[in-house]
Amino acid sequence: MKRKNAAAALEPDDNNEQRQELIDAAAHLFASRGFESTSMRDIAAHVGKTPGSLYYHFDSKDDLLLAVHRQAHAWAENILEQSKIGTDDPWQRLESICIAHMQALLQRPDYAVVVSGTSDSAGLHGRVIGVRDQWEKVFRNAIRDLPLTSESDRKYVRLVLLGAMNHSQTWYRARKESPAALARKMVELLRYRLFD
Amino acid sequence: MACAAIPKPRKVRQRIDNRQQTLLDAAAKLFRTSSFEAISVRDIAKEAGMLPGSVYYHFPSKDDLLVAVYKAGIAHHLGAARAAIASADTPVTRLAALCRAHVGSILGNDFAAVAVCVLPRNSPALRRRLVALRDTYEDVFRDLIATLPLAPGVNRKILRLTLLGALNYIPIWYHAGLDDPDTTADKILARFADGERRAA
Repeated sequence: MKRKNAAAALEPDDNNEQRQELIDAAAHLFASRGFESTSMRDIAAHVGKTPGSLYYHFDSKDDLLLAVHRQAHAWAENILEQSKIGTDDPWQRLESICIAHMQALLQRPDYAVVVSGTSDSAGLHGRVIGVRDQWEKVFRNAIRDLPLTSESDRKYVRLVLLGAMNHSQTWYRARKESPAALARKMVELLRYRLFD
Repeated sequence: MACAAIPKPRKVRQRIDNRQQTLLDAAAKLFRTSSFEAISVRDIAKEAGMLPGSVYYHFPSKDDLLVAVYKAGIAHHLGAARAAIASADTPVTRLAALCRAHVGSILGNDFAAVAVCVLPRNSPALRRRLVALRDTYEDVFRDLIATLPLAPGVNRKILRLTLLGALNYIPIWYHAGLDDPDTTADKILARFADGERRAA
């Protein structure tokens, strides 16, 4: 393909926009067909580009997968950053993180499916990628500060919350309740005792 | 299929049923360990030691295979759940028994695992069928949770969805060498039961 306007095509903004379009397409296809069943050609076709132009931005399909994870993580981080409430209450801090997690998860379902590993080739066990570990670390740190008695309690708070939040993708209906309201209710459920 | 109407001798029928079970076992195993989208009918045939054509004799499509696996999985869950509930005599102990049964099923039975962990996003029609099957089982949780003597302010629906989410996430992190399935279920339920007292 002859590049008529090579300089313009390389403008950073334009470049970023194209990159973003490709990452969105990859997230969509990985989520709906699975990582293994999606080819670079499919992703290029989805945005009406040639495979060659895809390789200009990404060396491999693995690179694209990593970009999807990074993007999802960046959104969650961003939401969390904006919600910094400067509280010392560890339960409130955990709540802010869960709100960020739920918003990122439910407002970008394609990304959520890819990141939570329910749709990639490794199946239920998912793909352990550093980016996800990083976000889990944010979680772990908040949970570390909770006034719980044992390490085992902390571990189960983390696993219960992650499971409950990821599961919400299957039942969440927009407009009924906001992701933030659901996150608050989940944290509240774990904080207080169930029976009197 | 026209020939389906002709009654078959018992021996042949038996063999067909056996083959169908082999096929379902293979499908359940693959659906549990890989993503539904990534698996082909060819893969399932290979796992079952059959030709792809023979699969289509039993099931018209991969979707139909998934529905059949789901039905068997939900039947397994319902059987285990009813036995568990019958074994306990208060709402709180029934919930504990139900959670143990649920975890035992999803960690010990491929069909039961598929019925809670697999939900393809591509086809809304298939999804609705699967969710309807799943609901027949989740109603057991709904009905039992309705009988619990909960502290004021606990939202029963959020409890059901959060508890099921936490339990269904177990296969993602569970591996041999951790707590056994019963203890895992107990510890998860304890995270819900324990906690601070609400301010009046």
